[in-house]
Amino acid sequence: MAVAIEQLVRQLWRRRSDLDEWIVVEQDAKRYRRDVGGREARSHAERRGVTIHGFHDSERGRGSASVTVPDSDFDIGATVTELVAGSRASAGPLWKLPPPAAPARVEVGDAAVTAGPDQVIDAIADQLGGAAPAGLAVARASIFADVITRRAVTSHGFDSRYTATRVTIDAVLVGASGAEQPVSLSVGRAADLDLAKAMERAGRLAVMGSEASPVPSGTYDLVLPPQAMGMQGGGILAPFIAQADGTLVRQGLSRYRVGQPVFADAGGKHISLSSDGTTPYAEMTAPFGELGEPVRRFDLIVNGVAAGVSYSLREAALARVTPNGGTRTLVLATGDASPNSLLVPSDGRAVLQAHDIAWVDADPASGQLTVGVGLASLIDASGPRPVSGAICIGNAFTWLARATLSSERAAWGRYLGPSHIRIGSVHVVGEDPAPDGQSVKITGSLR
Amino acid sequence: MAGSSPAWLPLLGCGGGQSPTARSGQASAGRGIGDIDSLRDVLRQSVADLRRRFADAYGWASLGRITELGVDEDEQTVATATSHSVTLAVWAEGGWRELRSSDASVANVRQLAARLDSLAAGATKPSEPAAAPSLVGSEPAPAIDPRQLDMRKWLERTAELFERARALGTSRVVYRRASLTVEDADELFIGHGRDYAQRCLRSRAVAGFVVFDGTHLVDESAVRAGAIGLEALDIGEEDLSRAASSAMARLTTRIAPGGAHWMLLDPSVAAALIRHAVVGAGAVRSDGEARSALSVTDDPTQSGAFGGYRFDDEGWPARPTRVIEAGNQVGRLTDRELAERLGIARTGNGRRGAPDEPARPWPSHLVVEPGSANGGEMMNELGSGFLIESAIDGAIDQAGDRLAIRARRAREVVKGRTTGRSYGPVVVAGSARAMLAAVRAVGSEARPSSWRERHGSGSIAVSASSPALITSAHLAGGG
Repeated sequence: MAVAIEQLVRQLWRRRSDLDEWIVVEQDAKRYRRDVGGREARSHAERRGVTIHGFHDSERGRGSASVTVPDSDFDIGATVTELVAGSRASAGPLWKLPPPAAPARVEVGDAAVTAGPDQVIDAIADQLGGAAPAGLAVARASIFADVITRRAVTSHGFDSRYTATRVTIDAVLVGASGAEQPVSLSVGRAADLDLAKAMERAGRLAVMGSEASPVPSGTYDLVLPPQAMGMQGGGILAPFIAQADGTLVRQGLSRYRVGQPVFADAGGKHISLSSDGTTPYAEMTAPFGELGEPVRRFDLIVNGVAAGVSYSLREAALARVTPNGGTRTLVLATGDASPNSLLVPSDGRAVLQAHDIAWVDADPASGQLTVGVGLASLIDASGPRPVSGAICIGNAFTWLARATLSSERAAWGRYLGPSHIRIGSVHVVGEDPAPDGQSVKITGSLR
Repeated sequence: MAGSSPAWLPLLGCGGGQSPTARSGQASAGRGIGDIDSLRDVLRQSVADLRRRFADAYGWASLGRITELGVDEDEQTVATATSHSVTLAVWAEGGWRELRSSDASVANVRQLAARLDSLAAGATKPSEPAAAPSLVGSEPAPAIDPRQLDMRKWLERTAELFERARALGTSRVVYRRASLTVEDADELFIGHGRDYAQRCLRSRAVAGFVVFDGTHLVDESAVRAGAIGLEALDIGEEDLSRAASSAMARLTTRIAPGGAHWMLLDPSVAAALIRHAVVGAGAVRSDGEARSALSVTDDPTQSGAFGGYRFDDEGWPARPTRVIEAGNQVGRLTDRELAERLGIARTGNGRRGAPDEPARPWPSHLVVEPGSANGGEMMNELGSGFLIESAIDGAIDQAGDRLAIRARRAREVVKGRTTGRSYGPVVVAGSARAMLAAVRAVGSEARPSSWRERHGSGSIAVSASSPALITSAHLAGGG
């Protein structure tokens, strides 16, 4: 791998009359997988590639092109020629690479996983069978160990590399009735894998699922768990990530104006959100970003006011600011309310406490969103009872502006913040009869 | 053509945060991709050699490239990702042992074979797979083959689309963009008595319009996609004009009245409903009590389909599979693992998000059987309710049956005519099974839709051909 990149860099220097600046990013990703229960299988996959970003300046501005090739078996000369052709054909605003900055000092690679991924996987597989909660058994599971090495080299002299690891379990538990309960967990360091906690949660959800009845449509006070914010893409925080993007802000297409309120009617003064790409072994942590830019902590919102923007290398150069590597782990400031106080019905509305989020579908531009709640507790004057199938509809910006945040903190995926977030008066679609009094009756079974 | 715009923001090259794992090395397409003939020869040899020691063996390979071009007022960009992948697998020690690599050189294939050869063969054999059907369907026949055209020409043609878009809409349109994504790959599968090759060519062109009133960002796109070449950029004037007008019209809408209603879903919304319901059909089956007007087939063999192919990513020949019959979910899309686990037939729907990832069952090209009613007749059939237009996106609970589709607009309809009141954005939500079972009319004019769905570390191309539908569901204003 190192030989190829050195040869490539030499070729790029030779072509400096054609390319004013360049960035080379090399990635070696290895995935080790073992499937247990049912049909046993093992696989090793490796993906090695080099992405070259080339920039050519002319009277038309800066032309940008990128070419990604496999790390081996590629014609360096032809690849660079293709890159030159692409950058000469394209055009955009003029900008320059900033001076190289030191990568963040963060822990992302677990030595145990790097040294012996198959051994780590086998150790987990050995624990799995005995970890299932009472009444459930592990029907099947896939265990993954990922080892990813990245190196970035720029024409300005930046040259750095890191190795990150990830251990993931996707399992399915099955009960005596045949009902299935999925369990998923993913950590950067094998020692942080808390199988017992994940299994305990799965057991609780399995019991709830067996007792749950369909939720009636109505207006509820919704209490969201960390899962709703930590899902891939950012969950209900996805619109905030998108609106803070440097490209949108530069083009005037974002509701973000640094120094101005993010929420309508200057609400949401209790909302402070920041990005932190330096939490050890977290999902989004990295020493440097996609183009070698440093990853830094920065504020997105402070007391309801836009405070910072996510700057890639290019957008930072255009804005003449320091790049920050983009939004990473989202840290939401906690509030004052105890978690229990957020579960008390008020103003004649029941509380819907979500325990398992099926999906969050959020429109990054408008904030419109739907949240599918697999399992929840419906808490009213008569106490809590398990319900299923709630579809919550609203807008991420209006929700957060009126949310009440717990004082306790929890983490999930790329989220660190209040363990409970209560949003008043949320429209929930439950399972109701069809219009015109017609009853659309469908029976079905969960396989 | 309707296509749910992913977030518009990725078209701007932003949005959604940045992951520490770069997007490099993803899927496929392009010119001069690689020496497929040498790769085929070494795969054949390797699989034959491995079969002498092991009960079974196979090889799968992809040499491809994805090229993305974007043109807006300020800039033109080009990004090309070449991705090669080879998988060799043997049945050893009671299960499949697979090695996957992005290095598809002859030397590396031999090294992978040598690593597998060092495993203990074991005494057990895999269960005999059912005999595979023969390969059907035809190779893509693009009018403008990307492999024959210089990159400068690609950019020129994309810029032409941008110029056409720029001429449309008023000053309220604050941003326009034209983009083209071409995925072009040569794929091989050797094993189980099969020796297949196919070219997978998919092109998707988008012309987008953004209207911004200082608070709300409203976008609409005109899309053309298929197993076609650069002719994807020839989006019709009517489609472009419709997208520009729709973006501007949406600023005047209001929040929809909630509740259960009968709705006429335009082809894009109908396609989004079908696509998510079929994905959800992986978990939930109906018991055949429904008698609706809706029948849907997953058909990867349809010529020109964006989500189509001749054999899936596990080397199983593609075939049409009936998934919905009279409103009942009847078919189950499978890959090898799911078919074996459930003891049902393989349908050739094993699909990978990235060439180096394992396959999972996923739809390909969904075809809704058209009805006989034209647009006016559908409005009369609806009577009173809402016309739902321009799907944005949706989601389904894969463990259950709950579904929500977001759309840009709903128009009130009374006695078969629009009243002039419109609402947006809106959400159509409820039980997927109930919505499918309640379909009481299907239009006669199908329109294509296409998506690139995030899947693992990559994406999967899916498409649909659907006319408008009338069904009942819960309508809510998205705010």
